Order: sequence, then structure tokens, then C-alpha cells
Amino acid sequence: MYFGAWIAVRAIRDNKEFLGALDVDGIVMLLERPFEVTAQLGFELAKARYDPDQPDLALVAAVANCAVPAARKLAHGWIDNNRARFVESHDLLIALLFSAHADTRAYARVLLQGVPLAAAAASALIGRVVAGLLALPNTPAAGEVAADVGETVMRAFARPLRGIGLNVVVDLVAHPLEGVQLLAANILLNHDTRPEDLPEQLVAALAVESKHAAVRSLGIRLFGELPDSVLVHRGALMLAFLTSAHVDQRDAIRPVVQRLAARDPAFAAAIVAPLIGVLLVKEVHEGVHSFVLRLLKTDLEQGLGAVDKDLVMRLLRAKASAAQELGGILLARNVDPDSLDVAEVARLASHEILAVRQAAWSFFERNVERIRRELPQAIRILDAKWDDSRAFAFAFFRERLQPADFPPDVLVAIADSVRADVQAFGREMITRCFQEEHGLDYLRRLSEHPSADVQLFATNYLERYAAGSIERLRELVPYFLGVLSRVNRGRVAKARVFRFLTTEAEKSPEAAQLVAELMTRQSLTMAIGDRAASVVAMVEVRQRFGDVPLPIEIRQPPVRTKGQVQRGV
Amino acid sequence: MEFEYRYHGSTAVDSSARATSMSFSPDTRREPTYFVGELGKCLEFREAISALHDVVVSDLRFKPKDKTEYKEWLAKQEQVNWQQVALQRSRSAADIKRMQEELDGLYRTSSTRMQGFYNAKRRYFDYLYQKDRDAWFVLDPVITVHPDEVFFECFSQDESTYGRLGARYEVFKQVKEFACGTTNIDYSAALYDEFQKIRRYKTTMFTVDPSGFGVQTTAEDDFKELKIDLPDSWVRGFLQVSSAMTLPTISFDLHPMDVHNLCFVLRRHKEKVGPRSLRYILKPGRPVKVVFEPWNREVEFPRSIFRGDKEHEVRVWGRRRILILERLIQLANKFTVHLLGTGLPSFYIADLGDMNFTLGLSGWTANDWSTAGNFDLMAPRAAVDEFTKRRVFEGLKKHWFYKPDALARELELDTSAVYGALAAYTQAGRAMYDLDKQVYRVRELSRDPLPMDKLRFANDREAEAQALVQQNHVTVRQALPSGEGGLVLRGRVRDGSHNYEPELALDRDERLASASCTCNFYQQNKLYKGPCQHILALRIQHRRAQGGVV
Repeated sequence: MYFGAWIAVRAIRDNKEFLGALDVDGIVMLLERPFEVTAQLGFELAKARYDPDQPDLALVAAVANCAVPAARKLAHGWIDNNRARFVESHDLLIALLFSAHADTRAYARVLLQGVPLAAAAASALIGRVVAGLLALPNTPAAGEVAADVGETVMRAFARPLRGIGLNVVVDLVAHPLEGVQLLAANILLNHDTRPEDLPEQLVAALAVESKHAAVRSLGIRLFGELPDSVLVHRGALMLAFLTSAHVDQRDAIRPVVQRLAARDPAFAAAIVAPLIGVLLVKEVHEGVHSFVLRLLKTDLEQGLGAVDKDLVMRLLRAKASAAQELGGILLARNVDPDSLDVAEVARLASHEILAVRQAAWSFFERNVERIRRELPQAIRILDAKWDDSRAFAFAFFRERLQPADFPPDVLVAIADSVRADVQAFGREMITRCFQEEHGLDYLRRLSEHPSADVQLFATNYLERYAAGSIERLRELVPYFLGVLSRVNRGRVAKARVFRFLTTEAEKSPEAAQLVAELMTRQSLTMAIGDRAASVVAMVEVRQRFGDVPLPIEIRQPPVRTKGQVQRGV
Repeated sequence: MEFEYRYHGSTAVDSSARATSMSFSPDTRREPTYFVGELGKCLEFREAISALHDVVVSDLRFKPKDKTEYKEWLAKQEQVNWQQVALQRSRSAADIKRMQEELDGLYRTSSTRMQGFYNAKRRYFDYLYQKDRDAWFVLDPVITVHPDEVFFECFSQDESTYGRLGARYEVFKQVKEFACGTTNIDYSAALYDEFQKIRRYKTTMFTVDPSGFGVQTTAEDDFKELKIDLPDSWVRGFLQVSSAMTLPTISFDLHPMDVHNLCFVLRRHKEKVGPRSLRYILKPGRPVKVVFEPWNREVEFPRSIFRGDKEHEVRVWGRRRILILERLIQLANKFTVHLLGTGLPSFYIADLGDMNFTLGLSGWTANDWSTAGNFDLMAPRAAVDEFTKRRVFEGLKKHWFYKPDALARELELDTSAVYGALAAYTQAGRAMYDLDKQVYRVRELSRDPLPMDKLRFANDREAEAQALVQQNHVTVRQALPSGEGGLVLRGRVRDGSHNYEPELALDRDERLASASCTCNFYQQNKLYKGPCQHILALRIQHRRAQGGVV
């Protein structure tokens, strides 16, 4: 196509007659062509035809918009020579403003800023500009045009725009191009009308619904300019901004919230509750939780004082880590230690967030007296899943409490734990806090523990507290069976139990009966050490109390003389 | 197979210094089933439910070792070796030696410095494992409340071990309220630790929580909804072991210390090569004898006399699973062993007074194709029409549990028809046979009936093999002992219009070691997809000819 134009231009150049007869419309048509050669031809013709005293406005407009940069510059020069005349023509001005070329648009801006217009002329021009803007298509090129036009209009017509009708602004807002919406936002920002009188739809359309970040932040600035008395009632909209998916919205509304919270404590308290609600549910948009947490921690601190214990516990139980962290912070500050259950605090020591665990530990440190009173609940902290909590608990119970504070059932409950280190701690504490009168109690309770270590530990108490009494022996029968039936384990415990039972059997016929029954059962074992021990016990019983039923038969080995032995009989 | 549950909250076991309360959360999608009572026999319950937990978590499948660290070390070593070779050959041997030493020093420093990190990394992975541990369970245990008994049933992850804990109402000090039925309960790994804290001196409350059934649509977030996709093989394994209980068994009693001795040998010796079976040698009037292969160690149980009237020699595999019974030895009065035959499931019932624990072991631990074709436990036992079957089942549902002979008398039906119908319902998972009391009980394994047509056979080839055997198209030509103590079978199978010549070799553990066939399936797939139907048919026919259960 371009080559075709080039050929055509070359051809027509020679035809001077035809060119001379060409009227302005024809020249304009040439100038409007996108090909530089054609426009160059038109430019030459226009240059020739141009009359400074009677400038043809359409010609000048065409030259200013043509494809040849030099031509455009020349047209600018033409206009500069006689500005007053040219600015009267609104068509020309519109053409310059909406030019496809950036330099012309920039020139239009300079022109309009330099030349004052009468009020009526200005509003007429503004009307036409708005119409032109609304007619622009949604393309990137048109976007550039709209941006420049908007800027120009704002700069040149600041005063008249202050009073412009709001329906115009509504139309501008509805346009998809960013430049147009920016113009609308800027108009509103500078408008005479007070912000609170602006319809809420308008502000919302700019601030919330717009697809362009710059427009949204302007919209939010507009929103922020509302007087505080109005803003405090617009909590719902502010909440929507704070939790929106767009980072710019959240950042734009934050200073507004900060300002309001600083001035009005009631507002701070009111907005804290829904924000905490946001933390308790799943995050809808990414980054909202961390933003809300930051906001609550730094800007809305004073509003957090009203959060009550139930809400704090809900935060701690929530799934989101941000909620748990906030719960941890508030636990230390808001919750009266006396209102917390010791069992609850002990459970908190298993929490994932370190701040929460530390809060639990400091609770323990501060309320030693209460811990002492409610010791059975407090020892649940020993079951914590975290090493640091358990280490703290060991140190606390060792150092801050006296041996006399621990009743035997609490110590046994500690030793009952399933963790090996806590069991060991329990055994250490039992040994330390041991009191004679509780010995039998310890034996009874420890003997029911299923673990091998604790059963071995309990054998230490057998001789002192279970000896000599048939009732206690009967109580301990499941324990004896448990120790002796362990497969291939617990040699020391088995040895001690066998020894104990063998001595006990001597003491009374009922004891002998009991031991005989146990040994009858255990003597079937394949482990030769245990079988030997059970046979020894059975032999002792038989020799002491001959009438107790036993599965053994004692045979006297044949007595042989020395001579028989030597002969090998 | 998808199963859906809806639990109202989670099962919680709360223990303090003076009391323990267990509250199991039932599936609210099923008929209301609940139970509230105070436990009297605490220790027996503790040991039995710990054994049940061992069944639920038991997974004896082969797990290949993690060799990544070894391979890294080996790669490093290989560098060293090459360098040593170069060392011997080059002139700058001293240089290389010095650099090697420096490098070794650097490796050592690096590993000491990184040790803290590796330890922390391993502990973090352990923490993550513990956190997500519950994702490892397959099917939550099933609890059934009947007018005389409450019982739990579960099946292990490796699809080979069945556990049942039954507690008669005498076990409870007071029973407050109950509703009969079957439901799944929410179970998690952490409960095991809490069960260990049950003591005789603490009051223990046992609850299958009724509260979930009253709550309607409010407070939806209190409900825990689970959708589990169970492998078909798992459900089939459960039903196979469950239906094996209805077959006639060879049974004898063992003293608790006999089981102790069994576990003792297993604990002290570890087998590295097969055969790995436990051979029960039973002669009427003589003590039960057990032989442990491969050491051929004989153990006799002098106080346990076999009271049957025929001689038997039964081999069972997967004997390590018997170690689950260790905890029960101290409290059991006796153990009753029910055997069905070589390679068939076996059952060990521990009598704990008013409680009993049944351990059901499948023939082999690994449930793969090497044991396929050995028997079809899901075959219909007797031809019973639908109407009669339904009458029998309704009759059983009226009473919840009943002896089959008494049921036959009540319904005025032939006993064989009743037995056949009840066996069919057991195979479908809707009833179970209580080996201890010898009654049939209603127990609906799932809310909706299971698709039996999909579950009976693991794949099409097994179904076809059964059909071939039924139609008598299989002939066993040769059955010769092979060199290593196994068996080689050769035969001919007529499938359609073709004759095929399958050949298979069984090893000393009676597993399919190798096989071949002249059919197209074998030519294309060899044994990668399992044996073809002709190989399976030959094996089934051989077993049938030997008089085993089909």
C-alpha cells in the first residue's frame, strides 16, 4: 500500500495544474493520510495555501494532526502567532486536544493553560471535551489520549470544573478507560460539593469497582476526605476496603483508619470486633490476615483492650496462625489470670505459637500459690507436646514447689504419663518426696502401670509395704502376673518378684496357697531361668506346707555308695 | 470403595488423677447406636483395647530400606578410591595426600556443623509425621451394641489381621442407657496413650456418645465429615477373614503360658529365609505340639491336650502377628485356637473372664497374587433362594443374636438352609459369627450394602478360574515334589475350544514361586499382572483333589 501511495504521489506531483486546482478539502484529505509521503505532499500544498491573515481553521487543524512532525510543528507556530483568534474555534481546540500525536496534545495543554477563556466559552468547551472523552473506544491508544486530555482539562479548567454537574461525573465514571475515570476522580476531589454530600454510589464506583489501581486509590482518598463524623458511620465500607483483594485499597484506607482510631476510641473498639471476626474465618484473599494482624497490633492497640476472655480462647483455638498469634498477645494482656482455668492454661502450653506457650509459662510463674492449690490440673502441662514446655515444667516443679506440696496421687499421676522423660521425672519426684505413710499407696498405684520401667520401680516397695499381709498380696496378683508374663524382658523385675514371693510363701498357709497358684501357672514357661526360679519356689512351699496342691513331685535321687559310683552304676 | 462418615466431634479420652472418661464418637449417618456405662474390669479392658490398637496399626508389609544416605556416602567413597589410585601412580603423591587430608578435615567439620541442622530437620519431620499421623488409618473401628454384649471390630492396614474385643454387660458396673446397632467410631493414634492411663482405682466411664444424634442442622461446624476411599482388597480381606469364622474349625485350648512360649521363641529368633511357617501337630489325646520352621524347633504344650478325634497337621504363616497377643497373656484364663487348614485363616480367642479378644489372622501376611487361587472363602455355601435368606435375616435381626439351630426351629426351616443363608450374609458383611459363644450376630459393616459382585474376586481371572473348575475342565496331570521341598504341578485346562498346558511351582511356604502357561495372557504379560486363569484353575483343582476347602 505504501509503495502504491508513493507511486501515486510521485505521479501527482508532476501534475501541477491539478494540484493548483485542489481545494482545501482535498488538501485536508491528503493531510489526513497516514503515509508520510502523502502527508508531505499535503503539507507542501498547505504551506503554499496558508494565509496568516485569513487562516483556514480546518487546514490548520489538519496540518497539526498530520503524520509529518515538521508540519505539526509549523502548525503550532501558526497558532502561536495568533492565539487569540485560534482559541475562539472550539473545533480546532478539540482537534488539538484529541490529536493522535503526543506533541500536539502537549502543545494543546500549553496553549490552553496560557490563554484564559471566558466562563461560558470554557463550560461549552468542557462539555465538548467530555462528549469527546465519552466517545473514545477502550483501546490503549485511546487510553493515552484520555490521560493527556484529562490532565490538560484539570490544569486548564480547574475553576470551572469545580462547579460542574455531577451527572457529567457519573457518565465519566462509567467509562472503562483509566484516564477518563481519573479525570472524574480528580474532578470530585476538587469539587465544590462537600464530600459527604456526594452520592455514595459514586464514591463506591470509584473506590471499589474500578479496575484501575490509581483510580481506586484516588477514590479512597476521596472517601477519606469525608468528615470524621460521617466516616465513623461508614464502618462497613471501611471494612470492605480493609479486607479487599487489592493491596492498594488496603494501604490507602489504612491512614484513614489510623487517623480515626487516634481521634475516636469508640470507633477503634467498634472496628476491632469485625476485624477479629475476619481472622477467625478462612482467608478469602491472600495477605488479608497478615495485614489485619499488623493493623490490629500497631494501629488499633487501644481498641484491643475490650476483647474478652471467650474471644481470646476462640482465637487461640482458631486454625489461622495469625489468629493464634493475636490470641497469644491478648492472652498476656487482656485476660485476668484468675478467670482462667489452670487446666486450660496447661493445655495452652501445647500450643504451636511460641508466644502462647510463653504466656502460659508466665501464668505459672505468677500464680504459684494457685498452682499449688490446683496441682492435679496443673500437672497436665507435663503432657505438653513441646520440649521447651516440658523443660519449663520440670524446672518449675522441682524448684518452685516444695516436696510437701505433692500428694501421692499427684506424683503417681505424673509417673503415669506415657512419655519416658516425664515418667523418669515422676520417679525422681517420688523418690524425693517420699513419705513412709504413703508407701503402700504408691505401691498399689504404681503396680497398675503397664510400662516395664514403672513395674521395676514398684518392686522397690514390695518388701517394705506388701510383706506379711495376705490381703495386699491378693491385691497385687495382677501385678505379679504382669511382671512374670513379660516375654523375654524385665529380668531384674522378675528376679525380684520371684525372690519376694519365695520368701512370702514361708509366712502363712494362705500365702503359700497363693504363691503356689502363681507358680503353677508360671512354671510352664520356656525360659529356663524363670522356670528354675518357679520350681525353687514350689519346692520351698512343698517342704514347708506339704498339703498345698502343686504340679511337682519331689523325688529323692538314688543314694549310691562310692563303690557303685566307681563301677559306673 | 468410598465410605462417608459424619462424626459429632472427636473421640476423647480424658484422664485425671482420679477418673478417666472415654467418649467414643459414633457416625451420625447411621442408625442411632449409643452406650453409657461405668467400667468395672478396668485392667482387662485396658490390655484388650491396647491389643486392638496394635491390630489397627499393624503393618507387616515389606518396606524397602531408605538407602539415600548410604548412596551418598558411597559416592563420596568412590571419589576417594579413585584418588587413592591416582595417588599410587602420580608423582605429586604427597600433594594429593595433603589435599585428601584437608578434604577429610573439611568433611568432618562440615558434618559436625551440619549435625545440629540434620537433627532439627529430622525432629521437624517427626513432628509433621505425628501431626498427620491420623491420615494413616484405613477404616475406623466398628462398634456394635447388642443386648448382651458390646464389641469392637477392626482390621489392620496390611489387610491381614482382624481383631474383635467383646465385653459382656457384667464388665460394667452400671449401664445407664444403650441403643443396639452398629456404627463406626472416630479413632486416632493419640487415644492409645490415654488408654494406658486406665487404672482400677480411678472411676472409668465408657460412653459411645449419644449426643450427636439429637443435634440437627445447627452448629454444622461441630461435625467432622470424612470421606474415605478404601481399597477393594481391604474390604475383601475383611470379609474373607470374617466369613472364615463360619466354617468348621479344628479347635483346642492353650494355657496362657503356652502363648507366652510361642511369643518367646518368636522374640528370641529371627528367620531370614523361608519356610517360615508354624506347624501345629495335633494328635488326639496327646499334648499339642508346635514346630517352628526353618529351625525345626519343637515346642510341646504339656498341659494342653488335643481333644479332637482325628490327627491333623496344619501350617500357618505370618506367625509374627501372634505377638499382638503378648499383652493379654497376663490376664487371660485360657486361649482357644481355631484352625481351618493349611494356608487358611486361623483364630486365637483370649478368654479374659467376661471379656474376650479374638485375633483373626489371614493365611499369609502379604495379600498378593502369590497366595491367590488357594481357596475361595467367598463362594456360596449352599443354594438358598432370596426369600428364605431374607426370612432368616429378619429372624436374626429380631433377636440381634441367635444360635442357628434355634433359629431354624423357630422359622421352621431346614438347618442347612439356615446355615447357608447366614453364611451368605456373613460374606456380605451384614452378620458375623461369634466363635466364642457360637451364635450368629447382626453386624452391618457399612451403612449401604456392599457390592458383592465386585468383591468376591480380586480380578476377572480368578472368577474365570473358578468357573473352569466348576465346569470340570481342569485336569492335574502331574504333582511332583520339587528339589527345594516345594511342589510342581502340571496339568491341562480346556478353555473354550483351546487346550492350555499350565505349569506352576509352589515353594516350601506354599506360595506360587513360578508359573507358566501356553495361553495368550501369559505370553503377553508373563506374571506381571498376576497368574492367568489357567494357572489359578490348576491350583484350585489340585487343592480340591486333596480334599481342602474350595
